[in-house]
Amino acid sequence: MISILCIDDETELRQILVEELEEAGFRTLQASNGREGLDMIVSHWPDLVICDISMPVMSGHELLAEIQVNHPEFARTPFIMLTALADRDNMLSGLQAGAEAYFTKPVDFDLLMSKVVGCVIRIENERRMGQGL
Amino acid sequence: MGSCEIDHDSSCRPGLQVPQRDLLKDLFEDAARPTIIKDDQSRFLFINSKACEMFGLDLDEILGRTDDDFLPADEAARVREADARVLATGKACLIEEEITAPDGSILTFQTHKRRSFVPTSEGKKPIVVVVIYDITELRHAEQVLRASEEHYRSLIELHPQTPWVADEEGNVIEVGPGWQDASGRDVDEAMGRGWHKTLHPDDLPEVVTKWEAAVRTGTLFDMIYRIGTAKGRYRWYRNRAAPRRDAEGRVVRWYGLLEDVHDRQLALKALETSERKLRQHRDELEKVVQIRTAEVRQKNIELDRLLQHERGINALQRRFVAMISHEFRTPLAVIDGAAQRLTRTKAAVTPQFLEDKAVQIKGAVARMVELMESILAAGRLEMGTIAINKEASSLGVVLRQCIASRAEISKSHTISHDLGALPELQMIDKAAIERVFSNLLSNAVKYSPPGSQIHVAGWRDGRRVRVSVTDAGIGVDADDLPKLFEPYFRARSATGIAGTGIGLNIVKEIVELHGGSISVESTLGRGTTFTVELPFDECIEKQSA
Repeated sequence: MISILCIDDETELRQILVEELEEAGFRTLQASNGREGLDMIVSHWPDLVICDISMPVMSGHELLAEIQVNHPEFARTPFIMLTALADRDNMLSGLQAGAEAYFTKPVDFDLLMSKVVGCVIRIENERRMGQGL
Repeated sequence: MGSCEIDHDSSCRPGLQVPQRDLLKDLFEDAARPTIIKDDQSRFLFINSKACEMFGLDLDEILGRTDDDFLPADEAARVREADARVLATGKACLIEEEITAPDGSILTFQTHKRRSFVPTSEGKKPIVVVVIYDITELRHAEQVLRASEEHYRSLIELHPQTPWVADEEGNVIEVGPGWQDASGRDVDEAMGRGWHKTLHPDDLPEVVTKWEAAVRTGTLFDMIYRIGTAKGRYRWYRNRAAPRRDAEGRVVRWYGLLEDVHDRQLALKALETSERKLRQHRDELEKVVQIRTAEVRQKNIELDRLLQHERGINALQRRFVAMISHEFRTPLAVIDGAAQRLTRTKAAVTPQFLEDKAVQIKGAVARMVELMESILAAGRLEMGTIAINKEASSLGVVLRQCIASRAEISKSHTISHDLGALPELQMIDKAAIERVFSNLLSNAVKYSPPGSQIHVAGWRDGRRVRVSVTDAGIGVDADDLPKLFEPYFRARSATGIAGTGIGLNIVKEIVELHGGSISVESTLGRGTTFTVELPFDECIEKQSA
């Protein structure tokens, strides 16, 4: 079963997202900032991460950088950035840091879920190929 | 005439008879001076060898001839005339005459003429004995000397400067005529120490001192000072003097030169004055430039500071706009998300599901309203249109309401209070004060971990009332504390935590509009205490009593 980690300091929003993902049949994990998110990734190995950017303790950008530098084993885990920071610079730096996609709040769930599903299909294909080998 | 007769039998030239000539030769040949013997017709009877030598002629060429044969006519006439006088009167005479020699040069003679007699066959015959002193050299030397003296005299008299001479004791003994022109006084008045009285009284003591010193030590004297003129004015003179010494080195004379340097001195003084003025002017200008430079530098610093401040404000405003966008998007995302969930849910829509969504939407809307109000308040603050309407109210009641509503929203935190020591009533704008403490409580919750405690205390301190709000939260960097109440400022420790940076600014403004103040103490990672101080008017207490 595919597991997805949702990282957001806004509890309400996180819950709505979790609800949507669970209804689509995914297992979910939750964290309220980057530091908690990193712990979750290291301990639970989620297949996909949906991550806010502006958060206390550790931001989404910082988390992504931390993974690239200190946890390269998770560098291939797709990161979908979901943020209220709507400016272009933020978007570019997120994508450059290795984010899979970048959505601004409020987000169209159809678009978000299409991206999630796309990622999942790719992950499953890779796994199948890995097993075949 | 008789002699003519004597003459013609011996030779064709007039002459004397041989025995007479021998006699004359015996008598005069050895005379110490050139000597000429003439007969009563002024004919040469004999010339000694000294005279022959002097004229460069042979005796034979001369004998029997007269001066007319050798001299220009006028000279010869003068000589003949003198001879005639001596012959006629028998009085010897000494005459000075100029005679043209055969070579053309002019000789000066002092000639002594006397009458004498020589014996002849006819008795005795008068003759003129002429003894010549050649004083040509002497006269020449005298002339040269005279010319030389005239030369030096002219030099002194015509010299534009005035020479003077003093004796070894410094007494003036001679002074050039220029002195009279200069001082308008007779030259005699300068003699000795007489020149003192012509000096400018201001210059006199120094000049006298220096002159006496020069005389005493035999050193050069050189001074510029003023001398009174005939017109009663003073003119500047330079006076220089040097000693002349004898073989033993003793000073025997002083030779001085007085030079009119008035115009030069005036020009020099004028130059000095203008230079001094120029220097003064330059110094003043420099001072002004320094002052102006300092001013400009100060203004630059001030301008730089303002620019930095302006840049800071601009950066803060940009951050504020980004923050506003972020802050609106978050509740909007909640509302949108809830709405999408309502339409997208595949499960049966239960009343519980509907209520959950309604609560989420209402919460987000409330948050947006709050956000909007604080932005509007900030706008009013900037426009200066916040009005405070104070009325006698209970601060304790207002605080308890704030605490209750915050506790309702933030169940994750415990809020305790100690408000018993607050006065019953005081003059406050209830709505504004409510905003102050809602904001401080909201901050306390926002910046401290769930489960931690928040404490509110209120008490009266004389004519002041104080309320403190303490949390056990993340705290504020010491560097950030002074800027905490500036508009749009957000502490570094608040990074990533939602907020606009305008709340505390509004709090401060409201407190100050009440005539109060707000302070903050914080330790990073330990917690923060905000203390609001409001004035308390005792009249209210009495009224309420």
